[in-house]
Amino acid sequence: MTEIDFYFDFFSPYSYLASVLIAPLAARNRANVVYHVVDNQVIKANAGTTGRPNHALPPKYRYLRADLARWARRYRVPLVSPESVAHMDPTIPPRIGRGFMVARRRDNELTYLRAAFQKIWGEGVEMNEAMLRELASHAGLSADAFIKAVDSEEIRREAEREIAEASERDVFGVPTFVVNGELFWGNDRLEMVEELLRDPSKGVSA
Amino acid sequence: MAKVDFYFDFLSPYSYLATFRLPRLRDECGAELVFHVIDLEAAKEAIGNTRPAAHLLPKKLRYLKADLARWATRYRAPLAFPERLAHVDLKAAARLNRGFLYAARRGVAEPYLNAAFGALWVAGREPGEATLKDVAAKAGLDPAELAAAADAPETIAEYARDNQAAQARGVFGVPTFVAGDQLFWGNDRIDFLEEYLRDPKAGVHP
Repeated sequence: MTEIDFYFDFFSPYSYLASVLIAPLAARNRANVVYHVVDNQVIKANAGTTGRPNHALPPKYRYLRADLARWARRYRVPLVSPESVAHMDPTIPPRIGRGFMVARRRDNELTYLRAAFQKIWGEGVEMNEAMLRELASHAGLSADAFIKAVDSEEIRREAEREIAEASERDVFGVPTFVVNGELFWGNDRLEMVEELLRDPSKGVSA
Repeated sequence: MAKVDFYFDFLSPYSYLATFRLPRLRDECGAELVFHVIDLEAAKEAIGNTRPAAHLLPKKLRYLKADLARWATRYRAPLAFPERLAHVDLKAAARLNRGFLYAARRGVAEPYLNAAFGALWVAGREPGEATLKDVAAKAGLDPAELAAAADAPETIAEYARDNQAAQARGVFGVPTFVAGDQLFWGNDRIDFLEEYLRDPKAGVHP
C-alpha cells in the first residue's frame, strides 16, 4: 500500500483544509495516510525562512482571508477567520500538537485530529488551557492525565524528533505531503498528489 | 467582457506558466486582459515582506524545481531553469521589464511578452544586453531603439508609477490577477479566477 506522509500543524488553516480531504483521497486511491504533526515555526526556521509572518503583512493577510474563504466554499467546510487566532498564547499550538502524539499512542489519532481542527478552524474556539483540557476526552484520557502526558519529557522529545525528521526530509512548510519520495506543499497540490497516486510514472523526482 | 488586470514580472517562472492560461481566460471566460509588468522584489518590499526568495533557500529551491516541472507537464509548456538564478543581474531584469512598456507603446506587447518569457524560461537565458536585444528583434522592434527607450527617463518614471499603482491596489506578489474587487495570487489560483469570471456571485468579501 502506498503511503502518504502528511505533515501538518493545527495552527495552520491550510493544514485544516488539507486534513478534510486527505482521508477520502487516500481511501479512493488505496493509499495509507501517515500523520506527522510538526511545529511550523520551527520547520520554517530550519529551512531558513525569516521575516515577518503573514498576519504582520496587511495586504497579504487581507488576501489570505479571501483565499481561505474561497477554499472553504470549494470544500464545503466551515472555516473561521484567521483573525480568531492572531492574538493567542503561542505556547498552546505546540501543546495541541503534542496532544496528537498522546492520542496516537492510544489509537485515537483521527478522533483527536478531527476534534482539534474542528474546534480551532471550524468553530473558532480560542486556543487556551481550557480548550486543551477539553481535547483530553478525544485522546481517551482524563484532562489531568492528558496534560501530564502532553508536557512530559518523553512526548516533548518525540515532538522534537518528528520535526527534525521532517526538516531532514526537506519539509519547509505545512501542509506537506510526501508520496514515493516526492514532496508536495499546500492543500492546493492535492490534485497533483492524486495524479501521482493514480499513475506513479507521473513523478518528476527532481 | 470583463476587464482582468494581469500583473507579472519576467523573472517569475510562475508568471511565465500563467501565460499558458491566457487564451482560455479570453476565449472561454470573456476576459479582456490588461498587462502590467511590475518588479516583484519591490512589491514584496513595499509591504515589509523580507522573506528570502524561494530559490535562495536550498530546501525550497529543490521543491520549486519539482513544482515547476509538474506545472510545465500539466500545461505541456517547455521550461528551462536558469542555473544562475540566484546571481541574476536585477538591473538587467528590470530593464527587460521596462522594455515591455516600450513594446506596448509600439503595439507589440504580446509578441514582446512571449519573447521575453521565452528567453528566460524556455531558453534558460539570463537577462542582459544580448537577451534584451534578441527579445526586441523577436518582437519586431529595433534592438537599439528598444534599449534606448528602456533607459529613457519617461519609461523609468512610467515603470515607477505602474509599480506604485499595483502596490496601492494590494498587489504583493506575481502573478496576480485582479477582476472587479477580487484579487487572485498565483498561477495556482487561476481556477478561482475562472470561476469568478463565469459567476461573479463567486466573489468573496471576508
